[in-house]
Amino acid sequence: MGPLLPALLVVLSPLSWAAAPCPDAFREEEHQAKWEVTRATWAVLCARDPDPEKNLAEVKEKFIEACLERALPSIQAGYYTTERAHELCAEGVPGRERIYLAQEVPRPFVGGNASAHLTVASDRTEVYSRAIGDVLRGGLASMYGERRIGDPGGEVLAKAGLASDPSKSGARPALTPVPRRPGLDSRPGPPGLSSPDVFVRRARNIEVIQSRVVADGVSDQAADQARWVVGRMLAAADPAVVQNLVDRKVYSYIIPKDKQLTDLEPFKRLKGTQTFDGRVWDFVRGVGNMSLPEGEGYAMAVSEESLLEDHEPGGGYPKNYVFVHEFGHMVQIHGLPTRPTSVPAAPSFRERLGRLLTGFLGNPDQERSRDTGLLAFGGIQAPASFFESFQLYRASLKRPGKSTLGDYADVNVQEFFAQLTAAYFNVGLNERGNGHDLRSLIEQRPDLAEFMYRVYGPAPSMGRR
Amino acid sequence: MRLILTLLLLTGMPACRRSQEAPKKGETVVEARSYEVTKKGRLVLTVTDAPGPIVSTALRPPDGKMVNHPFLSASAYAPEEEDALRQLLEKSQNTRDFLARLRKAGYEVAPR
Repeated sequence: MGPLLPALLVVLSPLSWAAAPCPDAFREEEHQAKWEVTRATWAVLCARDPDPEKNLAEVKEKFIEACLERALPSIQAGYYTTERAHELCAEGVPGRERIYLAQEVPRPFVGGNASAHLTVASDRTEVYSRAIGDVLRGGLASMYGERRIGDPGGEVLAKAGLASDPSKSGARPALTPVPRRPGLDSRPGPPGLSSPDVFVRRARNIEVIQSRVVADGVSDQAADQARWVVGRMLAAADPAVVQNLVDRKVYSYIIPKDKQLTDLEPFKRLKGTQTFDGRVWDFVRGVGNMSLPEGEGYAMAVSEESLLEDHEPGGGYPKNYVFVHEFGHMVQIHGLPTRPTSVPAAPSFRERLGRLLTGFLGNPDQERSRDTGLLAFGGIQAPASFFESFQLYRASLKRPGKSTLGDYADVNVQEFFAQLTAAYFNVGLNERGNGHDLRSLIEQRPDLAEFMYRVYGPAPSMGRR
Repeated sequence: MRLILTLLLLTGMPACRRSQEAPKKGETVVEARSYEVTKKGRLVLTVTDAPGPIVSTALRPPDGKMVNHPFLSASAYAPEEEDALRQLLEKSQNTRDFLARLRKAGYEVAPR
């Protein structure tokens, strides 16, 4: 009898599960980990319908639907057939993660631990991002002329040799014709990144920001370098961030080797004055967020030499670090939305709660209400915001090693973000071990890497140019 | 049940408020007070009433050293205001004095 008892339990367990009251049928490993439905949402569903099996089926259906929507860029780009994507989505979170791991396009704004994805992305998207940089530097006209609608990034990948050689891009399957699933293709893609229009608009905006690199009296090499760094930082960034930088009129000034900061027009009013910590402004070689006359925008400045070589070897900053750091300030202050903004499918918590309540009390809009409720509770996050950077900074200060980005990053939220940006783009680590490179950032602070990912997309390394 | 919770909250709140107002004799204040200084709505400085680094918007020197101040720590956020802020700080005897000078000079000071 003894050995038979566990077997009997196994046989009976589905029956006992089915017989359990709906709220008790909630299993974290099944419902939450696999289908991203929280206990609270489950309770709401049970209040509406006491049949747990029926509820689970609905949860799965919603998950698969949302997952397919998120996989749309990959399907459109031909990385997956709709059927294969459907199969993977039907596996729940693990299947969806496999889709993200294979996506060459930036991952949409979805919560969860992205460290595994980032590890792969940091190796693989190097080529992708370099290709984008090359296209941007080579002029956008050719890109607009040749790019196929419905294939965001496809031409870029082709230029990088990725489209025809799957071995260079890891597990991405060979290109196959895409059978369209009725009803899915007419939907808008995930916010921000899937639409070809958004892709083109972002590229145009990057061009505008590059044109706002002011490099009078600077060598062509340094000016090109600055524009290249801008292109690289923003190539896969959240399009809303790029748009904000354009709208807020952010300028990047390069200080010529033989000139002082205060020789440049926007900084002339600082001549002869001192910084808050008592240095003379004239001799400063980098600064962020100087306000220009009203309505004309904001300016940062970096030295020409910081773009050309590892200046002051043995004690100075790595090449490109100063630009990436100062531009990081501009991204945080002017690019990020101040407060978290909702993704289109996720209204505010109060509104979601209200809709859920009215939904299961029999509102005619019930289906829609429940749908948005599930999406909202299912882990979809809003785009990165300044407020979130502040929360991360405050939380970091409470950790034993604080931010792990060095003392300077711990002094205030703006230096925290700028140093984090430098780490993410692989220019922050110096010989004093101050900060991280991308790999150590992902390993030690995946939460911060995930945040950077939502701001900038996959990170290309900048250390070698 | 709801009534009990409401009563508990109402009776508990004044006690909590009292405990935040002033530390009792012998108690230590764990967190230093911080302030935001703005000018025409723009954040120009954050101040914490505890000795620590003072930070400029200027690129820090390559040696990485930060300047420490004897009675406060502060971060500046607007390059064009830094000279004026530094001059006010140099004249100040303590944080309260500094905040008063800031207000007098037209800055808005608010606790964080």
